[in-house]
Amino acid sequence: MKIYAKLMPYYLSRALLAALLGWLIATSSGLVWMGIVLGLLVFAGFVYYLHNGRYIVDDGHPFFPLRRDDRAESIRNKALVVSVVVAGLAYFAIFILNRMAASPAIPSSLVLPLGVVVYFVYSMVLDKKG
Amino acid sequence: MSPYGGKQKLKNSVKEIREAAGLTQEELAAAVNLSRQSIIAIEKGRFTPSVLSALTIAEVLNVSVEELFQLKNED
Repeated sequence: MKIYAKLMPYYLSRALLAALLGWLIATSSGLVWMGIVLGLLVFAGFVYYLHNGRYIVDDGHPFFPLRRDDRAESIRNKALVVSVVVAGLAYFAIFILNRMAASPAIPSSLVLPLGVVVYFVYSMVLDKKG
Repeated sequence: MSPYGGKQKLKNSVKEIREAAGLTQEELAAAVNLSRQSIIAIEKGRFTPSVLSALTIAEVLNVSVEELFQLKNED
């Protein structure tokens, strides 16, 4: 893996952000190992995004170097549409199910994480397909 | 169906011409302002670049767009 020397501000700022997140998780949950693991995972995610080749890396902007090209824009737009539609349908289904049940069984707050997961999974599928 | 009859498909010689020019996918991507994954997708025929990107790739590889991209009859 090639380390971009010019992008050291990106690595350092994301390491700081990941460490901060890890610290927040560790202090709020009391589980230090969980803070360390999640902090490392978040930092690995930042490094992966820089090196996965899906984005144009603009080293003229070392703090925010990732740019989308035409293909990445098209993938983002399609994934956004699909995730909004899926989240909307899920919200409608949960609304109907909760109306039918005696007491609301499924929290509608599940719709947001579902939409986020669908966005990332569908982006990855589109990226593999073309 | 094209007006000339038969189904047509876009073929490209980007990989061959890039390799002949001694460029890696990453170097070509940086030169034409596309991502490495986009160059991979173009070479595999999974993604058709915009006219602007096609012209830029042709310019960087010092060939014509027709040498890079060709219409071929599928049948």
